[in-house]
Amino acid sequence: MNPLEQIKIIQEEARTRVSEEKSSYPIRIFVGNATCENAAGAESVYKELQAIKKEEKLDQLYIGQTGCSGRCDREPIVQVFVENRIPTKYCEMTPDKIRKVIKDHVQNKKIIKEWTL
Amino acid sequence: MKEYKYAISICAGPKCRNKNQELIKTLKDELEKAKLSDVVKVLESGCMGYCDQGPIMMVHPDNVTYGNVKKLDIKRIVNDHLKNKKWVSDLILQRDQVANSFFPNFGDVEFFGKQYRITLRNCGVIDPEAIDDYLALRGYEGLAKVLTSFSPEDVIDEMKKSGLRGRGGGGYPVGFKWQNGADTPSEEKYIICNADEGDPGAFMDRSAIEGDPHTIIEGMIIGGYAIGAKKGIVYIRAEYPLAIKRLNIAIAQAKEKNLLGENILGSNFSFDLELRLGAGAFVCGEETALIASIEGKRGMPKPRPPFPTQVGLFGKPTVINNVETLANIPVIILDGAAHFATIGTDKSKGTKVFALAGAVKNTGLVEVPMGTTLREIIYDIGGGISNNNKFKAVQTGGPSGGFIPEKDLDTPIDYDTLAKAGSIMGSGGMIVLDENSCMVDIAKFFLDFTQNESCGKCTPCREGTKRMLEILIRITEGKGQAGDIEKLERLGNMIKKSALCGLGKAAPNPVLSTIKHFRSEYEEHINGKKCRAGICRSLLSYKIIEEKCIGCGACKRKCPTNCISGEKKALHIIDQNDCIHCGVCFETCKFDAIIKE
Amino acid sequence: MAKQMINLKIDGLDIIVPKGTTILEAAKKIGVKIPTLCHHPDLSIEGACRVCIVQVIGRNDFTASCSYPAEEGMEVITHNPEIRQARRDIVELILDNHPDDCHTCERDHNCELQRLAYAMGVRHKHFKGEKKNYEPDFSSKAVIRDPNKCILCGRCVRICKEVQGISAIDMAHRGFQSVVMPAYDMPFGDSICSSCGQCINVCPTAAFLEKDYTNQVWEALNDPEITTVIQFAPSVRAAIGEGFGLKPGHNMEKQTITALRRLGFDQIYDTQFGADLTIVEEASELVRRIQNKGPLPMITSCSAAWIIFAEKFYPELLNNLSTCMSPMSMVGSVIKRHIPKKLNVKPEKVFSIAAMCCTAKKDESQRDNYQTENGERYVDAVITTRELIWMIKSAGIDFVNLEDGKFDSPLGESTGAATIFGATGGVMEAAIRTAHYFISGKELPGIEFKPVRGAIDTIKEASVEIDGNTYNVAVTSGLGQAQALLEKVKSGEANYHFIEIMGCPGGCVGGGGQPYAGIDMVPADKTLLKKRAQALYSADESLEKRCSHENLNIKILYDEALERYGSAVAHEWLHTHYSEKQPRGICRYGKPTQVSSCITPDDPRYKELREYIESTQEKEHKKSFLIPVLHKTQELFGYLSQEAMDFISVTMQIPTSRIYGVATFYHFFNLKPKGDTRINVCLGTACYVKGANDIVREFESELDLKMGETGDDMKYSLECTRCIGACALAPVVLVNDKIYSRVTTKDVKKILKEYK
Repeated sequence: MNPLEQIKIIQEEARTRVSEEKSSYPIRIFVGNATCENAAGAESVYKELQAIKKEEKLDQLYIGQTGCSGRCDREPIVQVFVENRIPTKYCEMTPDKIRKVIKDHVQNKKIIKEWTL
Repeated sequence: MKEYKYAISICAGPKCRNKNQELIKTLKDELEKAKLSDVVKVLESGCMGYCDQGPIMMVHPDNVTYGNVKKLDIKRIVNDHLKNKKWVSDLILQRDQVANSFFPNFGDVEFFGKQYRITLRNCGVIDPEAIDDYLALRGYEGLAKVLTSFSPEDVIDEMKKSGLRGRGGGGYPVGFKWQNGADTPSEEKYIICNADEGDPGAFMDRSAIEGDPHTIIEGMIIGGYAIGAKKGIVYIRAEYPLAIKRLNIAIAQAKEKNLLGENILGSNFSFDLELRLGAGAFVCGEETALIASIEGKRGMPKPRPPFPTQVGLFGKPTVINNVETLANIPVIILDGAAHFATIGTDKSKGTKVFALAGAVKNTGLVEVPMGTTLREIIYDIGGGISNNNKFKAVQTGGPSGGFIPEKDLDTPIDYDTLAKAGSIMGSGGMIVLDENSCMVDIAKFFLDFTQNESCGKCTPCREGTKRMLEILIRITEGKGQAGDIEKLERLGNMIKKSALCGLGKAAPNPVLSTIKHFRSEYEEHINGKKCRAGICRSLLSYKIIEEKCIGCGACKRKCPTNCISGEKKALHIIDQNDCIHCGVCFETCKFDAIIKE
Repeated sequence: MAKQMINLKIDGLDIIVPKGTTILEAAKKIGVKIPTLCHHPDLSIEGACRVCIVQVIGRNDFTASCSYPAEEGMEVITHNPEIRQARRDIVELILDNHPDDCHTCERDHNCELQRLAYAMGVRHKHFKGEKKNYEPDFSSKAVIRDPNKCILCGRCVRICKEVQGISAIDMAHRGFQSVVMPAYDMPFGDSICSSCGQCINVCPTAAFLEKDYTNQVWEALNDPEITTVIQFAPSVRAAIGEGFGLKPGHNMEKQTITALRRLGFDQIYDTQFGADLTIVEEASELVRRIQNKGPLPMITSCSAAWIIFAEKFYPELLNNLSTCMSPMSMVGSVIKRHIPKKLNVKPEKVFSIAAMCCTAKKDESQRDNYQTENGERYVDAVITTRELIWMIKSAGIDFVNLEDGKFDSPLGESTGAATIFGATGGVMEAAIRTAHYFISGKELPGIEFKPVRGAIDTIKEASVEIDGNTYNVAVTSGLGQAQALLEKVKSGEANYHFIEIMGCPGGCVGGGGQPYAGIDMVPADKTLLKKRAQALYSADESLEKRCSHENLNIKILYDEALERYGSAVAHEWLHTHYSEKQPRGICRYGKPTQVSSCITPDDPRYKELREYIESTQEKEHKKSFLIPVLHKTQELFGYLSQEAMDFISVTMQIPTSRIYGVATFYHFFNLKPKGDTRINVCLGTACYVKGANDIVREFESELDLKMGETGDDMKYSLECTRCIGACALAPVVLVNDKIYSRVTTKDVKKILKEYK
C-alpha cells in the first residue's frame, strides 16, 4: 500500500473515532484553550462546565477544547453545537455566564443574543 | 444582533469586485422575495481563488462552494439550498477545499467575512491535542501525496508555481529557497522552523502552533523531503510554554502513527523532529543568529554570504522557514499550487495573518488574501477605531516596520506595496494608533526595544541606535535641540545601509517613518515643547480648573514636590516651576478638576 | 583543476582574482587599501566594525568588504561622499563610547583607532552621549584589562580561542552592555589565562596592556645603594628597533647594551648566556632520560605561558617537563647566588631585572620557589620590550645612533645556539646540536637542523640520527597547536623523545611584550615574526661558536660553582619542580578525563543535572546542547549560579567564559536568584499603547523596586517581558504563572494583595 492509500485509511479511522467520541453527542460544547484564552479565564469556564455536567448529569453533553480562533478581544470563546440547531459562538464567557448558557440555550432552547458574536 | 441561519460570501477581491456587484444585488432581491433577508447575511469577501471558475459563492455554515454562478442561478440557490436545504449539485465545485474547513463554526460573520483562512484554517476548529481531529480534516494527506507521487524536484516546482513567499517578513520565495537548499550537496541537511516570534505585538505563530501544531509538522516533513533533510528542528521561544507543550504532544502522536520518524508511512523517507528553546533574544529570529543559538552560542549574526542554504547549522545546508509559511505547505500540495496562485496579488500570492491590535474595536488574528486594503482590515474587519476616536496611523512589521498614515490606507497589502509605502510586511504585526498616541513616543518605544535586543556585534546598531534613542528621549523630555531631526535622519540612514543584520538595518525604520509622515509632531516637541497627544509627560502642564475644584486637598497631599498650594475648600493652584509632570494629581482628582495640556 | 577566476571592477579598475577572494583582498592587489578595524588576516572573519563597507553597484545597502566574496561582473566603489560619511560616522560612534584621554594613554601615537579617526576625518563629535564605565582590572601579575578602551572588535577573543585554544575571555552581555571579560567577570588573575599576552598584541587600542614594572626599575636605578643587574632576551634585540622606527628584522643587540649602560644599570648580562646554560643542563637531562628510558617524551620548560598552562590543564604530563628553569630564571639564580661575591656586594642589595619579550615571565618571576633560601628573588622585576623602549625614550637616549656596547662578564658570553632561542624551533635545534655532541662526542653535521624551524600554525616533526640511533622530535608554537600535539602524544599516536613547546605563535619573537605593529603592519603578523626570527638566525650564522657546549664562561661557572652537568648544586640553582593547579573551568579543547573525575556536589539537583547533561552528550554536536542544559539548570535551581556553571563547564567540556557569555546574552536566564513572587509586566507594543508604562510605574512605587530588581527580602521580583503573546488582552501582567489581562493601574494593588 502506498502512503496515500495508507493515509486515507488512517484518516477514515480517525473520522470514525471523532464521530464516535464527539459527533455522536447531541450537545457539544468547545471551550477555547490557548494562552490568550486562558489569560482571559477560559480554564475556569472549562472547569465550571465539567462541574455542571456532573451536577446535572448531562450525559449527552461533550466538552472539548479548541485553539484560539483569532477573535482575541472577546475571549473566552465557547462554541455550542446542538443537534438540528445553528452552531453558536458565545463570547466573554465566565463560569456564571456559562451556567446561564446551559440553562437557557441548551436546556430551554433560547439563544442569549447579547452574549453571542 | 440578528440571528443568521446562513451567510453567503461572494468574492469581492480586486479582480471581481465590479463584476459581482450585479450578482450581489440580484441575490439581495431574491432573498427579499423569499423572505430570508433577516436570516441570511450577504458578505463581500476577499479573493477566494478559483478565479477561472468565477463568479464564486460560498454558503456557510454548510461550507458549500458554488462556481460559475450566473444571475439565473441565484434563484435556485436561494430557493433550493437556503429555503429547502437542498444543495444545487450542478453548481458545486468539485474540490474539497482544505482551507475553508474552518467555516463550520458559524457566527461572527462580520469579523470572518473578509477573511480567508489557510494558515489558521484549523484554529478554533480542532482540538490541538487530538491528532484524530487533524486527520479527520485531511491531515497528513499532503505528506502522503508527496511521498506517493512527487519527487523532491516536483515538490520544489510546486512551491515555485504557488508563488509562496516567506511569511517571516523577508518575503523570499519559498520555492527558490528550497531549491538552494536542495542544490547544495550534503549528506547532512536541516530544515528549521523559526517559531521565535520576537516581534512584540505579534502572536500569529503562537496561535498557529497552539491551535494546529500538526500542520507545522506536516509542512516541515514535506520541506525536509524536498531539500533532502532528514532532521528538522523547531526553534521556539521559551516564553511560549503552552505552544511547546502542544508541539511535544503532537510530535509524539505523529511518531506513534508512523507519520514521523523512520520510514514514514512505509516509504523510504525518514525524518526526525526536535525542539530547541530560545532564551529571550529577539535577534535570534534572524537566520544566522538562530543557527548560532542552536549551536549553543551567543545569538550573534554572521555576514552573508555564505547563506544558510549553503553553510548553515553545524556548517551544513539549512533551510529556515517561518511557522506561517510551513502551515501553508500542506494546503498547497492538496489544493494545488495553481489554485493557491489565484489568491492574492501578482507578486504576493496567498494570504497573510495579521495580529490586529491597538485602537481598533475588534482585535485579534486576521487572515486575509494579499491585496486586501488596510482600510478593509481596520474598518471592515476591525470594526473601526475604538471609542470612535480619530485614526492616526497604522504600524506594520513590528519594530522593523514603519507607519502608514491615513492617506495611504487604500494601499492593497502585499510585500512590495507596503515597502513602497515606507513600511514592511514583517511577520504581521498591525497596530492601529489613534489621536491619543504620540508618534515620537512610539518611535522611542520601538527604538528602545531594538536597542535592548541588539546583539552588540556591529558598531552601527550597538552604538548608533543608542545615540538615536538618547536623542529621542531628550526630545520627549522637552530637551530637544535644533538639528536633532537631521541627526536622527543621518544616523538612521547610515545604520540602514551599514548594519550587519536585518535587526540593525531595520531598527531606524520606525523613527525614519514617523519623521517622514509626522515631522510636524517632532518639530512641536522640539521647538514648541508640546506633545499634542498628551503622552510625553515632561511636555504636559497640569492645570486646576477653577470651576471644578472644590478644595478637597487630595492632590496637594499626593504631590511629591509639594508644588500645589491652597486652603481648604478654596481653589488650589499648581506651581508650574516646581511641577515635575508626574501626573499623580491628575490621577487623584475625583472631580475632573485637573486637566493636562 | 585550475581554480575558477573571477573578473570584477574596483573603483573603475579591472581585476581578476581566484574564486573565494574577498573584496578586501582583491582591492589590496590593486593598491586600494580599504580601511578596517576588526579584521585580522589570521583570525576568523567577524564583519563587526563595519568600517570596511563599500558600495557594490546594484545593491541597496553597503557591503562589508572583509567578508563578501568577489563575484563575476561585480562593480565595487570603495569611496564616494556617502561611503566616506558613513565610515566617518561609524568611527565617530566608536569614539563616542571611548575615553577622551589619548594623551595620557599608553598607546598614544601607536593606536589603530587613533589612526583611523584621523584618516576618516573625525574632527568634531556630533553624537555624544552615555559612555561605558568599567573598573580596570589590575589583578593579574602580567596583563591589565581596561574594558573602557575596548572597541569590541573581538580580536582578543578570537586569538585566545582560535590560536591559543584557551578562551580565557569571551564576549558577555549584549547590545550596548557588551563587554569582553573572563567568566563571571572574575579577576583576570584568577582566570585560566596563561599570561601569554597575545591579546595585547592584537588589540587595536589600550584595552589590554602589560602590567607596568618600570617604576620599580627606576627606583632601583635611583638608589645608590642598590646594584642593578639587567639581562635581556634574544627576542628583545630582534624587535626593539621597531619601537624606534626601524623596519622589523634588525638585530639591535649592541645598541641595547649601550642604552642600558646610559640608563645606569650596573651590570648588563645576556639572557643568551642562560640559554646556553639551559641547553647544557637540558641536553644532559635528555641524555639521562634516554638512558633510563623515561620519562619520555621530555618537553621543554622555558616558555612561561606554557608552564602556567601545563600546570592547569596537563597535570598528567608534568613529569615529562624538563626540570630546568628558563634561561631568564637561571641567569637570575646565578645573579643572586654567584655574582654578589664577584661584585663584592650583598645579595640583598642586588636588584635583578629582566627585559623580556614576554608577559608571562612577570608571573614566572613571582613563582613560589624562584628565589634563594634567603628569599632573594631570582628576578625582581620583569619588563617587556615595550617598557624598555619607553624607558629609553623617556631618558632622552637616541637609540638608533648609539655606538656598540658589550655585555659584562661573566654572564655575557653566548653562542649561536642561544641566539636562536627566540624563534620557534630554536631551543630544539640548540638542544640537538649539544645532545649530538654529548651522545656521540661529535658535532652535528652542518650544525644547523632546519626541519624544526618555522612551526607557526603547524607541528614540525623530525628525526635525528645520533650514533646509530634515531630520535624523534616535535616542535610547535602557540598553545592551540601545543594541545593538538599533546593529544597526539597522549593517544599514543606518536613516539617522540623530545618536544619543544612555545606558548606564543612564532616562539618568543611573537611574545606578548613585543613592540606594537607599526603603521601599515598587521599585529602578530606572520611575516613580521619571520623577519624577527631571521635576525636571530643571521646572527647565529655569523658567530664562530654555534653550540652551547662551546661557551667558555659556562665551563668556568661549572668549575667555580656548579661542579658538573646535572649535579646536586646545579639542581639547586638551576632546576625547579611543578605542581598541579586547579583551573576555574576548562580551556577550549577540554579534557575528557576531567569529566569522569569531576566531583558532583552533594545537592541532589546536581545529580539530576548531571544525568541530563550525560544524556545530551550521547548525541551528535553535543556542545550545542549548552542552552537546553542552562534551561534545565534554571529549572532546577531557579537561577544560574557560578558553581552550577563551573559544573557545566567540566561536564560538558565547554570553557566557562563561553558559558558565561551565553548565559548573559539571553535575557531569559537569571544569574541571581529571583524573589518568591515574580511580577512580569508585558511591554509589547499593544500593551505599551494601552498604558503598560503606567502600570510599571505603579508596581515600582508599590513595591519600592525598580524594574529588573529583586527585593532584599527575596519576596518580590519585578521584571518585564517583550511580549507574552496575548496582545488583544493588553495590558498583560504575569505573576509567577498566572496571567492577568486588561490590567489597569487601579488593579495593581488588588493583584499584589493576592500575594501578600
